[in-house]
Amino acid sequence: MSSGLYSQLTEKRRLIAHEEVQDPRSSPDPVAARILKPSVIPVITYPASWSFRMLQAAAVLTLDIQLKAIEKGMVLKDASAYNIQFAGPNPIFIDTLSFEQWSEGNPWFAYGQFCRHFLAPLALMSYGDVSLHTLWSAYPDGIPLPVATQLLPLKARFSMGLYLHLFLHASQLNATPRGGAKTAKKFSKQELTNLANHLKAIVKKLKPAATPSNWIEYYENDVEQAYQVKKREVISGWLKEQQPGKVLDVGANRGQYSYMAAETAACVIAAEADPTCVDAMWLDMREKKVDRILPICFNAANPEPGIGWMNEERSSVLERIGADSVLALAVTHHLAITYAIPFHRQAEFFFRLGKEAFVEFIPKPDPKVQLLLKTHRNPFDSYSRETFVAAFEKLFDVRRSAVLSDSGRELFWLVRKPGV
Amino acid sequence: MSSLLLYLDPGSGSVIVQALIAAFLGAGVFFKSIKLWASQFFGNKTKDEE
Repeated sequence: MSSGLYSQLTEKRRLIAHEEVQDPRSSPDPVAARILKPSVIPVITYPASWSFRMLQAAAVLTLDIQLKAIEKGMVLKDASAYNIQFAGPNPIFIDTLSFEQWSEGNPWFAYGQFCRHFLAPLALMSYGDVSLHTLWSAYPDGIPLPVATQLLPLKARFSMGLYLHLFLHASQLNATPRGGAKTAKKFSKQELTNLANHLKAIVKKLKPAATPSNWIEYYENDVEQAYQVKKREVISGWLKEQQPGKVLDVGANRGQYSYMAAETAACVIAAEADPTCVDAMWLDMREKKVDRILPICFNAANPEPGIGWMNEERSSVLERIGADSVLALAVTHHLAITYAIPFHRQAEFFFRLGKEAFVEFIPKPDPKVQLLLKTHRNPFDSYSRETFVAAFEKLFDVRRSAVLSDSGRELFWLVRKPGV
Repeated sequence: MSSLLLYLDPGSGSVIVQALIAAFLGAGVFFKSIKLWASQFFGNKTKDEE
């Protein structure tokens, strides 16, 4: 606090602001010395939901904060990805208690953690596949270096930075220091600075793997114009009437409708299964300085589970992203046909996520449904408007409906039935 | 043997590597400064460092 680090970092919105609550004796913990009340982040996300560029931004922020801390004679005592949250598209460091005084000669003890939490997954998403953010569900404490180095291709070894910090590092994990603590190397401030700068340069140089994406130019190439115009008009009108505080856009694609929702809602979660689209959205939102929309990687058919101790150490994404209003635009046919999830189970899903929902029905003769049916066997015969409406009406009241296209695409404004 | 490994401090290997890399980066800075000095000494225009 007195070093000026806190004010420097909070002014730039890099560190979460807090106020000191007056009386520590009000704490249930008898040894509490001070109570800090942090400002509130609207949606909590974990790295399992971040795209490549989001994790990269989080890594750069962690190193920037470490560098600032070193200047002031402090260090970060941990370098966990969970210490970063996103306020809109901007990463912010939330663990005020991670700072500690650096004792002359000490190494950066969080270095190993930094490599597991940032460098290893970034390398995998760069040299492997951008969908590997999902590895976080299996490895809650970051990707173990021996695992990462086994998975990385040979060419990753030829990157000097990755060779040193991942491959060499992994090979030394079980080594014991020779000569004991007395002859151990003393680190200088300059060396810690060099290390953080080196890591930062490596992280910034990594690019997301070029994974083929069907969805990145979907709206430009594959969707009929008249239908889009009509759909925008209906949704915009309904949103103005609804005035939601928080919106969850499921299957956001490039955030076309998230931007629209952000005109009225204070917080929009743009949830999209294709990590390439999430990356593109994130870049776009950063550029346009849109701070109300948070893009996340989210597969509705397999949402990020609760992990760690009792599966409760980190809660599941469904427990964290509830909203006033859910947008489910052109997703129910994918869930029904690709993932064989019947409409009544889909209704339960959207019921759980939001008080109200705009859900689109795509009829069987629609070309997109026919395309899906070419490669997927029809999982249930009763794919029809009647079964759709009957399933959703068990849990929701239909406030409005509007036909959007000649093929019979239809949007329903659903409101949770009271007392269900 | 493998059961012994479980009792090792997981941080100690990272400290060893950190020491190696610190030395390596230090050497890098040292050689860069020699290169810079030499190029100035022989009257070449200094190129901007990356």
